[in-house]
Amino acid sequence: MILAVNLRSAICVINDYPVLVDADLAVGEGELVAVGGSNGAGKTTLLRVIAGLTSLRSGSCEVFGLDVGANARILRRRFTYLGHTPSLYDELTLLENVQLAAQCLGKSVESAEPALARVGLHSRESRVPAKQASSGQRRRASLAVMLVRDSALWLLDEPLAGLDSEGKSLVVDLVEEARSQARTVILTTHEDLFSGIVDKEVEVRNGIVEQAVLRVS
Amino acid sequence: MKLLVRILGAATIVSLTVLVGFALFVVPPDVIQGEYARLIYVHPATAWVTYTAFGICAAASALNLIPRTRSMFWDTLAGAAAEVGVVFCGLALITGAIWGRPVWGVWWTWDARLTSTALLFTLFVGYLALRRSSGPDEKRARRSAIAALIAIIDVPIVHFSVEWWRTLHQGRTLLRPDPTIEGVQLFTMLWSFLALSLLFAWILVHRFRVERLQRQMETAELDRAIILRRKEIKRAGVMQ
Amino acid sequence: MFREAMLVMRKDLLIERRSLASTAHVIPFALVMLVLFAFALDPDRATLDKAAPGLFWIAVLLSALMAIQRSFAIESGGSAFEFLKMSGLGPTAVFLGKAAALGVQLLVLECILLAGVVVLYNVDVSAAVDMIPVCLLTTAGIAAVGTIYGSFSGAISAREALLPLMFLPVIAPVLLAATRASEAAIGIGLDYGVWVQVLAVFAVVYLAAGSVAFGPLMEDA
Repeated sequence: MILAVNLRSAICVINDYPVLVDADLAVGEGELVAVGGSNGAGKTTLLRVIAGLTSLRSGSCEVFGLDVGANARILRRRFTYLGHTPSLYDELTLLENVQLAAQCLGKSVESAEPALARVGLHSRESRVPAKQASSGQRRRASLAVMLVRDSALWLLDEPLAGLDSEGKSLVVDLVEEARSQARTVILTTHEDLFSGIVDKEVEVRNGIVEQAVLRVS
Repeated sequence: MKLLVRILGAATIVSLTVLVGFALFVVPPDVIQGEYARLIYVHPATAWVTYTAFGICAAASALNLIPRTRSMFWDTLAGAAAEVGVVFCGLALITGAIWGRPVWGVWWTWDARLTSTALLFTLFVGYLALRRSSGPDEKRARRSAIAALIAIIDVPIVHFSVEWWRTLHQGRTLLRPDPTIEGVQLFTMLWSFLALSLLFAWILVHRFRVERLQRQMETAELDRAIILRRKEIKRAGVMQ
Repeated sequence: MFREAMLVMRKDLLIERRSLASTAHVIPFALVMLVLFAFALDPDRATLDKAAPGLFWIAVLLSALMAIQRSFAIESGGSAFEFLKMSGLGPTAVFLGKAAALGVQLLVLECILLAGVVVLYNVDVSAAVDMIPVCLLTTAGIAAVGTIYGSFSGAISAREALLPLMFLPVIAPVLLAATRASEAAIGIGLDYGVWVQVLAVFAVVYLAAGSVAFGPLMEDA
């Protein structure tokens, strides 16, 4: 099986504290992995390491067979990372933000509206500047950004945070769709909503990644 | 290695003593400038050391950026060289001012060399400030290296601009085919270059060592933190 | 890459048009500076119009500091953090795009300030055509250096403190050359050609340096 993500013996130090110590994680292409763990355990750090946003003190992290440190720029065209807070330009409307994300990857501007519609943001709502939108709307807009980028790998940090129940089921639907489209999805979450569809559940505890439950799909 | 540094230290003391002896006692006072001319045995050498120090900083920064030669050694060297360079640059400016006042009548003037040196001073003070900024070591090293190189490419531009603008500084005493100073004065001036270069090298070595020791201490602390963490993890695993 | 740079430039200019941060803060600041210079230098004696070119460029430089801060504040203050990094855009394109946007804003500022100098300091700019290359080249140099140093973020507080300390010494020769070239352009100085060449060299060197160095700088920001 080709590995989408291969993290080996990763040691990650943040502010002089070893958050991850000898962490290992192997994720095959097309797998859906849920990462659990208590607050501050290191789930976000794990995702950020995979996204190439946080560097390792030792160990290696490869995405699609390429080392993230050396190939960050090429790799970032192939995956989408959604952090805790949506990354949007305050002064641009939600629509413009999504259009910009599409254009950065050379995709057509027209793909923005359908993506926004898919996440439940219609014409009037999407033409609001990001700073005036509610946090739920911003979260949805960042999901639209993810759809428009059409990446093979999704890294989602607490995608359900700040969403109402309708929003949460939207996310679950999107993740399910992604899985059926053979995208690899790694997400961190406290909730059980994904239990039915994940291939693998892992937990970050004490700085390492432990297999919580292994499901065979 | 330690022996070499000791020898360097001894050589520095000896050469400085010789310099002081010659500059203050052996060499007669200048016909025109009187006793003030003795500053020629300090000032040009400090300027020379300044340029050497900043040159080392720039070279080390460049080496730190090239992937094949990248190493924290170069970053430590760049930082140490810049610090010592800033000190000598300050000395060069001060001794120049002390000399300028009685001889030219002014503490300062805006000619090419003085202005570029003053600018060099400010550029590297800024560089040292950047080195203190927060963040992981390697990123800070890379950022500082780029800053050093960007600062240094500015210097020739400044020099040329100001030279075109005004020129008052003493013409290059040594680099002309027939130097206007000679004999024991020439010898003393050349000796001052040697003595101050040795002093610079000695200070640089020690500054570098201090910086490296500090780095090693931080790395050791981090390694210890990781070992402790590993122990905690094992204990937690055993208890489950 | 040109396409990507245009994208970044248009984004920055669009954000600026929406927020009008530069227009509301930078331009008034620059105009106030012109007035303060007049207070300091007594407009009735001959000094003010002789000093006008220098004062003009000082006002531009100090205002540029604010514009640079703003250019990078939108990338990491508020919610846009990491948008640019994760977007997949090449760093050279980002550098050129941001520098271009900064340059456009500075050119607008310069036009307004020029009008201010003509009105307030009684300077005759009938030879204004010669000022155009001076303004363009100087702006290119300021934009290049400003974008490079603006990206030395680290912590935001570090940037606010460090930017003037690092930016102003490096840009000093540009101030010198721009002032001398401006003086020559309006007829009170010489060597127009030499100074314009210095400005050109500076702009080229720093645009090249920024294009090359921006990759690691963007990563580490």
